[in-house]
Amino acid sequence: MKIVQINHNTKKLIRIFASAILIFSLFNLSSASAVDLGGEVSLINNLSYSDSELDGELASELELEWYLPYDFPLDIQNRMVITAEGSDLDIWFKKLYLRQKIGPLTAKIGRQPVSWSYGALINPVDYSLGAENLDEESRAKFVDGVELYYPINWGTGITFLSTDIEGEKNHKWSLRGRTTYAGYDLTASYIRTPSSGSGGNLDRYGLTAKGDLGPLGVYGAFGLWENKSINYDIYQVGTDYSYHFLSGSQLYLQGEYILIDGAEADEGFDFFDVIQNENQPETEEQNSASDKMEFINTNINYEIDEFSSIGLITVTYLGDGSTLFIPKYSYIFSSNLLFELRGTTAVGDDEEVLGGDQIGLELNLSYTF
Amino acid sequence: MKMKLKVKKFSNVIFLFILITLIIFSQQISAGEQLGAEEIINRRDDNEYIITAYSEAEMIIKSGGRTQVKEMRAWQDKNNSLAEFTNPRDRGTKFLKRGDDIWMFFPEAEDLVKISGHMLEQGMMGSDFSYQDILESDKLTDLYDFELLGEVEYQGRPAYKLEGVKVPGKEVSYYRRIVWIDKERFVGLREELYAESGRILKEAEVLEVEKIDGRWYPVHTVMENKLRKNTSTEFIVKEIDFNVEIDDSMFTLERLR
Repeated sequence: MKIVQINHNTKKLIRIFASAILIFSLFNLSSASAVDLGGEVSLINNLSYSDSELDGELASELELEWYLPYDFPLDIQNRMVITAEGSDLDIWFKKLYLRQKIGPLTAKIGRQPVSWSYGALINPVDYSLGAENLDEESRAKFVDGVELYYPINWGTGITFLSTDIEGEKNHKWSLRGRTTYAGYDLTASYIRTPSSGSGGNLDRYGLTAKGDLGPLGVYGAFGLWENKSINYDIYQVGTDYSYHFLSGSQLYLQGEYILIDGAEADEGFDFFDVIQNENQPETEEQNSASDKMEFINTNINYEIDEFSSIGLITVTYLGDGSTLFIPKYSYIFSSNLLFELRGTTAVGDDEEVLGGDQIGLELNLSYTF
Repeated sequence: MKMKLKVKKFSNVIFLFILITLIIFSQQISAGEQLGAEEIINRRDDNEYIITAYSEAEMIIKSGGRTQVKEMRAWQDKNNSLAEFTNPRDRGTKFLKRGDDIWMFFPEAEDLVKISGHMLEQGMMGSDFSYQDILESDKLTDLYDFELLGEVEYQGRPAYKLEGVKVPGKEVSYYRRIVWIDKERFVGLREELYAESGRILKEAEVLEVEKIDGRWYPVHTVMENKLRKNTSTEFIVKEIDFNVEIDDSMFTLERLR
């Protein structure tokens, strides 16, 4: 609790520190030997169709990153985003943090992306809950906080992470170990997410393994989520495989199975927002539902050549057969413009877990410089 | 007069002796040049095998009339390598190879993922070079049994032509390889890579070699994946420093982050 209190007090300090870093960097740019500016400019069009109504949003985004020279006195990682949507202009940072060696530790202080991927389509043991390859998550994977990494050997290390949560007084924190054994990448993690909800703080324990079994890539995970009102055991196994065609194209196949023991589908279970979900009142009818949920997720990606690919991600709830389809297509023009198309549609009734009549389409045109 | 004749005879004997010695010696030198396959590969390895190195390179990927350029820098030692892409689209993407395992770092989400084994044979970043081709660090003589096929002329250079077949039990990307090695510079000039079925998989041609730090090194190579249509990848070494000091922390997951 004392740690949490200290972390809370560091919240303002982190922000002040981040601002100071930026100002310091900008003043030092003139003396730096080789500063480089890079980034990406994108035009994003989001279309959604639901209840016979078509809505559309057009936004443009400019991401800027300063690449500081290797002899720069501070290791500062940054990426600023300027978003224009209608008449609204928003400036924010995807990342802005200082990386510093402190004795045997490496510290990262400030806004930083945190992703604990092991190749799964849906990652139940990630620091921030969400789907790894389901686009909307990628924008929300940064956190404000402090990460301390302690290396034990080349492939083994322990990470402590403490981050700010909006609307919560206390900080979220975690401890994660990573090692390799017999060609397998292994991790163990514990995450405490503070909550003022009825269930109280959420504790999540996780184990993952990723390696090879003959020509197949294989992975697995076990997650235990618990608080006063939640007790889920989550099991996941998955595999991936790729095949080269003589024409030069390439097919990538991935499939995974997830069992969430303790979760009830009729409670409107939301994998990506468990704490908010637990605050919904339970009914007698809901309590009578099955207490396990099973999903099959697949990813098929066909790389036509170096410049274009087409793919489909599916998420199927085995309890009612409802399925979410996420088709995708990308093409790089000769001018180096990248065109991406991503859709979302579901098969299933409104009351089914993944059902609904909403159709979404995102068109993205971007140029990296 | 007799004395003069004796001196002359003696001079002739010495001259004859020197001549015979030279002939025998030159024959010995000539015999010494009849190198065995392993010696030829070892002498090539003396030039091309890396103990430690830092390099900066460019990959020009050509496919169906279109071109993509990727830039990278890399640190290598005998067993490990770390490569970081520096061109705008891939900037910050890093690969760490340790033994037979490869980890990849995605800069956007700062994600660090171990790559599945089946991906290692795929073209690295869409190129005709596989991850193994670029990051391979084993000595060829450790992986293949070589046999000298003969001496040929290749692109105006005298060359040895050798065939290497994989050593039983070794994990390699190509079952058989035929290599052309410059007879004077001991640097690879051309290579054909085959599957066990006999099908040709890839063809590499060295377009330019340079003498760097006293060793001949290929600085411009073009690779064609014969399983793909109308593609080729040029690999151009812009800078290479051999035997640099590399800190132990370079080939770690921490450095990859």
